[in-house]
Amino acid sequence: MTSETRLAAVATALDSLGLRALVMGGHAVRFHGVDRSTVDYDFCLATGRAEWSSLGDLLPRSPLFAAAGVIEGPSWRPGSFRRFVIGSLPDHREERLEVWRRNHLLAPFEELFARRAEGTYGDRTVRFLGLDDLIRSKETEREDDWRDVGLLEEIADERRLVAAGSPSGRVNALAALRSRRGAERARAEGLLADPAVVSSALVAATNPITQAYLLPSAARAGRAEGQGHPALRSLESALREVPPGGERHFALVEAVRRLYRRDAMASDRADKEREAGGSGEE
Amino acid sequence: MISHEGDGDDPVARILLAGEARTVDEAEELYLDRHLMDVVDLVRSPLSDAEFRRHPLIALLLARGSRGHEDSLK
Repeated sequence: MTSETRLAAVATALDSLGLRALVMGGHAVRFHGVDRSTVDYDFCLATGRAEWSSLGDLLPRSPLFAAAGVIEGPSWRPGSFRRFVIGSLPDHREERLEVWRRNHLLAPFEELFARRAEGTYGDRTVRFLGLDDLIRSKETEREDDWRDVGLLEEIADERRLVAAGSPSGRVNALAALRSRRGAERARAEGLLADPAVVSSALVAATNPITQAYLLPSAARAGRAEGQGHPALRSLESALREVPPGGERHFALVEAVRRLYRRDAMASDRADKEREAGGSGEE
Repeated sequence: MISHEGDGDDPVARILLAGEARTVDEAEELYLDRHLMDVVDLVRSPLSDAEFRRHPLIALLLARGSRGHEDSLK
């Protein structure tokens, strides 16, 4: 059994217990197109409080989980996140199932479910976090997660740029631009040539990295200065001065990216410390 | 005050030799974090594009940032 078929079997087992689930973590990263290895099975679950509390009793009702037994591991936020050992891998490492009821980086389950990606994985159809939600879920304090973010951003940009045939598609693609490869492709295909289109995208853009890519190409009146994310504020004037698409522009974008990442890592760390200190919501 | 030509020697090596970081990776991160806002001065400097690209801060920032198309073809 491959890692993919085992993940698909775990997803099916959760379904059979009446637990609606979306795959996140390394298998979702693989599904969306990044070739990397993973051994953990990570899921967002739709469960009520009572069902969540009884998860340790519920899981063994599935033959798949009952076969090797279910042993709960430590969690720094048991009201939102739980970890179970469900077997052992061929190399004798633990096989772990990690589940989230509420992830502090993500929207409520129903929103995630509405934006889900679904496709064949292993030997059956499996439901995953949508690509943008997966990227958001990786904006943690862990360096490894940011490596995934960088690769997933390129994939997300490419998908949107392929679908950028219509005016709304162009604005949609530009309004979510996150990678240098995406920005270079957008420029090569002429998508950044019309300041009005870029300004519309800039108004719709919510991420400071996207805003940093767009600012030099936007009409001056496209956006009031100084109202953006803190990562952008100190660099916005310089971004309005540089020629778009040059090394000076890309250096400023990378500075914004580093500030954004630093802010996200600090925020995730603070959240974890709050939970560990017992001041979490549960 | 930043040097428009770089510091003449390797700033990452200096951090390592001073014992402020245990690995090259840590030293590069430390250097970038300490000097990140110097990017604005460099962007506004009269450096040519080639000189700008060669500055240690810019070279490292771009090398550790989002890769361009040329990187994927190497």
